[in-house]
Amino acid sequence: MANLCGVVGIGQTKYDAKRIDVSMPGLVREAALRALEDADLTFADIDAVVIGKAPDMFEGVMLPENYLADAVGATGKPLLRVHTAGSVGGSTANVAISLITSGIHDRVLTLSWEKQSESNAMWGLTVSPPFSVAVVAGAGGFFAPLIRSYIQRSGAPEDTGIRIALKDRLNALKNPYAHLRIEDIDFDKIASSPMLWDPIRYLESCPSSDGACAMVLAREDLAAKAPTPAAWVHGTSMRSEPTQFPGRDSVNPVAGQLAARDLYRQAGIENPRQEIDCAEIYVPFSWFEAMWMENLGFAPENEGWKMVYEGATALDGDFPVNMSGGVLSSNAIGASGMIRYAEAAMQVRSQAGEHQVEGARKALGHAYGGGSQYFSMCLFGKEKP
Amino acid sequence: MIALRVRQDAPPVEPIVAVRRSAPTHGGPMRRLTMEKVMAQTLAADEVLRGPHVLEYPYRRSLGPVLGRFFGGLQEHRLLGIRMRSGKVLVPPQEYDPQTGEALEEFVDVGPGGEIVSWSWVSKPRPKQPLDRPFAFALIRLDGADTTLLHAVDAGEESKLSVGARVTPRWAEEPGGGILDIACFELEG
Amino acid sequence: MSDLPNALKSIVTPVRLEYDHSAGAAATGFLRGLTQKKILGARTGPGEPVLVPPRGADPRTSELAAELVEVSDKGTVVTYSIVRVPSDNIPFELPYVCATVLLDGANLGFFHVLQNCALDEVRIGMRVQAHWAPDDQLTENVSSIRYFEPIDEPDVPFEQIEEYA
Repeated sequence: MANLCGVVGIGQTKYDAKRIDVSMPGLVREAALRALEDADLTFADIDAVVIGKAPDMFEGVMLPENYLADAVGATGKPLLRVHTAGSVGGSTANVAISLITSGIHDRVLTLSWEKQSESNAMWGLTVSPPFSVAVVAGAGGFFAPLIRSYIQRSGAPEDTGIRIALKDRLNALKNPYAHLRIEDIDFDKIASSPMLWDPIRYLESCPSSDGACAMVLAREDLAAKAPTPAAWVHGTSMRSEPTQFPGRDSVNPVAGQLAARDLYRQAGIENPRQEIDCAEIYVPFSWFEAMWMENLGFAPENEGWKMVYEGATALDGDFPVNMSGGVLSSNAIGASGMIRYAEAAMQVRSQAGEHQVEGARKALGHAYGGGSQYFSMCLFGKEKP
Repeated sequence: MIALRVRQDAPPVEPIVAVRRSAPTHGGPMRRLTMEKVMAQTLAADEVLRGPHVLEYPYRRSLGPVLGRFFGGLQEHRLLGIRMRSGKVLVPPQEYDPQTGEALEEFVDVGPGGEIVSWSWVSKPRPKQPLDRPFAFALIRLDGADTTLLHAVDAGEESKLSVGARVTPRWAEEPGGGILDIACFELEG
Repeated sequence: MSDLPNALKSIVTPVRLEYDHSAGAAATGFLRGLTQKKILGARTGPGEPVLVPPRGADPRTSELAAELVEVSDKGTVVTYSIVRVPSDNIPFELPYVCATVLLDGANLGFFHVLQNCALDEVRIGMRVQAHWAPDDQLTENVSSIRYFEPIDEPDVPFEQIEEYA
């Protein structure tokens, strides 16, 4: 990495089912202003804006980045939109980081959002072209068979998913921005919630949320002056692969493994479970935490579920995962990846309030999208790399 | 590059090179549809299946404080703009100053009349367009505004249009919420 | 301005896009096969993996997959889910089983619904076969395979299909 990059400002909206109190420009503006306030900067200090969201069809606005230019202070500046399906919040930040590490810009604002209340993502994900039959609706229909495969391969107990969901939903109660904060959540409530796409229950699924997340990035000398110490970028990585090909392992995709390996190489990580303090990863359906623990190299193959059983991934465990409550608790799709990054960066900046992991020095942010085929990740550190 | 796991014990299968076109709607002689032919782009256009693919959704747009007032105004037959930092008036109003990015809040009544700044004649209207007879899409600068509003002008024939021609809104009989609460503009006088 | 009009919270902005979709050459061959109750795949050459439906190229290498191959309409369930979520786009009655079926002779899973099977009997490894539309209703559409249904053959051990699950 040629130049160092630090996260100096983080801003999130309150995530909610329907933010009908604001327009789409108003929504992204809210996150952008909070990130600037955190960094003690204004739009005038920003050199370029990189924004991301999931498919245009979710809100029915073509080229929304152009429509939002004045709301995010991009007038007269480079404005770039990134799109990599559900992983877009992560890849958007990665692109923005590259504008700093490459030396092109000094300070970059990056943000991502979704306003799901304007449409219906289940519809948006289930438009079938001519000559075909829609066999399942929505992301759950696609991912449920992969989870069934994982259960068969790993022999994981059937209640693994419930335990993961309970852990994330308890964490969400500590996060004021979380969309779903279910005060009386417990194991039985999740276990008895309706089965949607067997083996995925209602309370093991992510909600549909409106929301935006923003981060201000700065080059090394400017980041060092930030009012709150910066989260330093130790590495970023992206990989993708086709949805289907002969020999594809769609439960433990090679693209995700390669991205993690590349990230750890950049960051000088040899034993990720030991050297990384916590991880905020993209888990839209509870079981994916166990699957991604393996894909990211935190657990041996077919043993990711054991980390859940041992309590390792709980907020007070030795490897906390999804401290914010995760995608299970807030899912503004296009923003979801960046929210993961923001939480990881907040952890190393000691900004995470009640969901702070004591002494977090290195934290992973992770996102995936499509049919488990796009991966983006970033490692943040309290100290410079 | 990617480590592959390919099943080695797949049962042997015989390739076939011809596919019979037997469906009633695609009658005619049997054709050879090898992929070589396909990839060499020798497959006639009428040999490739085509079909309509319609994507349709009634998006519900949250308006926020500024456009909410603008569309509310249309239902009261009022046209609102908003004043920029520079003093210029934007119509339709926007939440943030396109020059400075500041939040805007000073509403200004504009119109209802205005003048045509430019237009494009639509001689064969399409089904979802505002009028079912030939009309113009025009950029209209409403009185008091510094920007233009795009809308339909029902002028009957193109020869009646000119830059600077005065127009006035024709309000929808039943406001439904949206820019078509102005049914269209028409020439004054 | 003191006498502002009432603000509307939201408006409906319908969008309708009408595309003329081309199935493309590879899918055209596959879809025409269905009208004869044939399931066609493609491969780059003898001994290479068979892609069903055909994709024109092998996604791993982008090599032309030019050789059409007929595969069996029998196969093995490699994974499944029981769907209990209603959706306007879905033509099946709830609950129903969706399954990835590895057709005999194919090297990609084929995703479809499984019927004529009790929900508590569906399992990975079970043998199934395509149930075709009546001859006069066979069209160039995946729905020419109405669904898959169990057949009386012994289950395939998981080890033999694990790489597709």
